[in-house]
Amino acid sequence: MFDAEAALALLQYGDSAYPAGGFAFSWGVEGLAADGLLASRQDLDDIAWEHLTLRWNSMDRPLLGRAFRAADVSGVTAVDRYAETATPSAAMREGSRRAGRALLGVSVRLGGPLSTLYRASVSQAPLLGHLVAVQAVVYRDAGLDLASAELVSGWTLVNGLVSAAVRLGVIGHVEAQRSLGLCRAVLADLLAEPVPAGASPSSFTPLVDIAISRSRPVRMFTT
Amino acid sequence: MNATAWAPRPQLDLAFARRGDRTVLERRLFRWPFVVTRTFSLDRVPAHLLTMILQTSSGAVHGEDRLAQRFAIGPGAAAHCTTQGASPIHRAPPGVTTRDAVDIRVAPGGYFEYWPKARILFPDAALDQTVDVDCARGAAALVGDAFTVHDPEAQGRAFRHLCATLTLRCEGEILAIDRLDIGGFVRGPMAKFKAFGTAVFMLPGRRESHARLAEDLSKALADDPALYAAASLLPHEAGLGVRLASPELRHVMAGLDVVRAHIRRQTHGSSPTQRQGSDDLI
Repeated sequence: MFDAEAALALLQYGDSAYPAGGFAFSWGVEGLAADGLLASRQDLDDIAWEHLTLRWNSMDRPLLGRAFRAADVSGVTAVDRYAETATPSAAMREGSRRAGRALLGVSVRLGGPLSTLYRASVSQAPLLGHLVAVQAVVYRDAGLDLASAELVSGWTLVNGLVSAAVRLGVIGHVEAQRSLGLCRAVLADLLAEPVPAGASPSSFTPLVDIAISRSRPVRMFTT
Repeated sequence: MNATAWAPRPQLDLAFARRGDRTVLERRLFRWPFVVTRTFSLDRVPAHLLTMILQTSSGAVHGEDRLAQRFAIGPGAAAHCTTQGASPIHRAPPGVTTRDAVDIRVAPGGYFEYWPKARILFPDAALDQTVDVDCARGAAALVGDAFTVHDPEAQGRAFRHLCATLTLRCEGEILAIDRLDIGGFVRGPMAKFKAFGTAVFMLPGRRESHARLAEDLSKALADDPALYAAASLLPHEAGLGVRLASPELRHVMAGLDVVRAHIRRQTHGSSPTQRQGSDDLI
């Protein structure tokens, strides 16, 4: 049976207008475009596939699940610390923390009890606040179940990538909708397969890592 | 998990120790497929650095291989270990995964370069590789890794599975983990790139010199238009990491040479001596 309340919650938290600062992050789209590796909608679709398949699904999603199931704050901070340790790129780590802290701040202002509790830990530890750990806390406050939290996590990534490409002038608004449609199918396929129990997080996005790490005289985005 | 958990007795077990103004090979245990012959003193700076070229009698890594290597670098010792050439990783039967575990311990004041030639993944290869580095405070370690794909029949066949885990520790504490786990090969812009490399330079707790070095390295690596690469600071002030990608392996290997030269100049004030024939990939 269609659950209108749950669907509306997904629309709210997955909306690109959700005020969590997502517009500041391109997750490598800006650098790849500047280096000539992203020039068309096909390129964007491929990079979104790479992000979703070779990082989000294999690294972020298992960590999100661990943090979501954590019994207490220390369980979430353990995931947060692991995200720091398992992200070799400094720019990626910095971006993840900034995005996570922004999302956490909004949830605290909305009165989320777990978010408020977790921010007390994050405010005392500069290396905490990674997006994936914060998403678990915030989406639990929002009343989402894990499957919904995974869906929103994947979708906000896709939204961020496509929206960055539009703002950089790589694709237009209509093409962006085509990309989103394609990413929707990729994400649905990934979500249909549960994360194996005990899966070790991994990622393989070397081009994104390089694009983000290269110094550039002018940037629109944080990552 | 400890990197040597698969094999209680590694096939290669080397220990380097400082004796006066030189480094000596204090322990030299090896068995098939590894072959250790003599060591070389090739560098004038640092004069105590010992070079070892590891050889394998099998000439390749095969499906059911379970390899384990252990390197211990004692206080004040300095060593550079490379391999005789690139390592072909041949097909593994269904359900079988080739394993290669490398365990590196560097004591205070020690310096170690683990700099093997690239791995060449043949169709249906399945490799699980772990490199575990424990670098004490006051020690330094440079570790390089590269792989490419090759289908001798040019039919676009891919390797089956590659899992590679690099764990960086300082006196037991994990500082950084870099883990990839991919099946076959990839599509899109990344599919144009057939060769990938990673290098890490560990000098735990010395962030101030890492930032400038990472910036200089990224600029130097940008000189090769056929190479896409950049350096970045590793978590927990472990050191710096470098990613490299190119359509051709030779550009990744040349980029790794640039990395090693920069690191040597940073640590010892002089570039490494070029070995004759060291540009050979296979």
